[in-house]
Amino acid sequence: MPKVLIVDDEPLIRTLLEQSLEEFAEHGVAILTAENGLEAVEIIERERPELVFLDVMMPKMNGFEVCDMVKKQLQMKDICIIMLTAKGQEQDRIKAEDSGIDFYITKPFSIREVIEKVTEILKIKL
Amino acid sequence: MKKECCRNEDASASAWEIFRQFFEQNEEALVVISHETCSVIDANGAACRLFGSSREEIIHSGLRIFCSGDELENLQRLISSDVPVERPYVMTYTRSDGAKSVLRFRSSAIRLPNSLLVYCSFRDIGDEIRLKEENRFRRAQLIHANKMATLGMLVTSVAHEINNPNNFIMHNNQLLADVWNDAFLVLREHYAQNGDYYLGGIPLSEFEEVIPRLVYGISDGSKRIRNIVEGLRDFVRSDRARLDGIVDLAVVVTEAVALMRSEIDRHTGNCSVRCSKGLPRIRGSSQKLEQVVINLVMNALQSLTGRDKAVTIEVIGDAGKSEILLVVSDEGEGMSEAVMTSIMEPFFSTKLEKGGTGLGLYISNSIIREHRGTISFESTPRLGTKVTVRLPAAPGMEMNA
Repeated sequence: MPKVLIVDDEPLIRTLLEQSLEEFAEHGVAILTAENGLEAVEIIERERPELVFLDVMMPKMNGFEVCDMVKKQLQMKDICIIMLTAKGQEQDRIKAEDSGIDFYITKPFSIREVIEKVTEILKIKL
Repeated sequence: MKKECCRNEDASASAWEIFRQFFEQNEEALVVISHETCSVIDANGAACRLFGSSREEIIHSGLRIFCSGDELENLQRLISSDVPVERPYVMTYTRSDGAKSVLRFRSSAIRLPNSLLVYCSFRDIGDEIRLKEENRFRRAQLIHANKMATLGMLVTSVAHEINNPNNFIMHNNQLLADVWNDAFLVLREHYAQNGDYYLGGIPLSEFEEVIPRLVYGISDGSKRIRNIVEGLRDFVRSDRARLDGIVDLAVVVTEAVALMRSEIDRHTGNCSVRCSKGLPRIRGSSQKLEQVVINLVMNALQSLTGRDKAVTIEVIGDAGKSEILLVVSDEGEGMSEAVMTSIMEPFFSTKLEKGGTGLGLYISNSIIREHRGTISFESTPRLGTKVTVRLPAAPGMEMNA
């Protein structure tokens, strides 16, 4: 069963993303959530999701640190990490690429873009 | 010539007034932004209410009123992109009362002879997200309740099956102990006359000590079985919803339908709910009856072969018999005679490969029976099914015939 992890400290955004992916859940995709970076790393290690939507600005451990930990220290390179970030500037893009992020979606974001990414990465047609 | 000119001016003034009122009275929060400079040109009353600011304040603050920091830059980029896109975007924002919420906005372009404007509509979807989440939670609770009901039935029947033989063990053991006490006197006399001898490999001299221990072991084990079974039964009982509430079936149906809205919309564009007014209440558990409504409506939806097929849910009174009727009709596949005879059996399902448990109707039927009601089916293959649940009106709350 494919797994998608949503990491955001803002409960409404977390819930909105979870609701937006409801149809994938009906097709057997497990939707997991975490509210901070530390919890995210724990879940990634334990559950090994195929795809992670990762917020940047979070308490305890920010998105870049989570990505660095997962991709470099834990060597879990096959996990696809999509960063959801308000930081869309060139230097942030470089920083994101350095920490091993696969894609990023800038805030404000389009729910349709999130759904399209899940479809593309998990190769699931709804 | 002059007259013609005045008429044109009148027409243009009237068109402008129509546009102005359309903009002002629109329930969506509308904001007009310059594509070139990203400055706010106009905002309607709904936008003022949404952002807790006057029109002048919104025009003065510009996009800063919607968000700040990096998100503001991204918003500017979105608005000033080559072709403003119609797909909705979401972002967090802080309401005027300080509460955090989520804003959804769409933008599209208005081309004027000399400029390009972007027309944005904003909507606070925070409450929508919360409501949907509450519904999801309640749905999960219902599924849990369904599982517990299944477990309850299983436990009750297993408890009954275990208790019967355990009672034999308990009572027969006592009887055998009494028989042994009497027989032992005879055996001991034989021992006094002939010396020690063996029974079942044990010398009689040891029996005085061994037998009470065996009897105690059997009776203690049997008591433990009884306690475990009782514990299981108590566990199931504690999960049972109380059946002494006063329930308005129309409210139960309305809530169940609201809970299933997305499921209904997925299966049909043709679902109607009709509840007669002023019906008497019934006695029971609204939670359990909601489970019945959901099970029946779910079956109806799953039987449909296309979105144009209808499902009708009715709550009506049967004046003559002081009963409330819940009628769920569908234009679905219908059922054959053979299927009709088995639908109430536990674990019977025509949807096993789609994850059906075959317990929905079985549990619904037992809930209806708990409420002293009945359920009946009328079905024609390929035309549809009509399920009628009859529940007695609460005593003292019958309808006036």
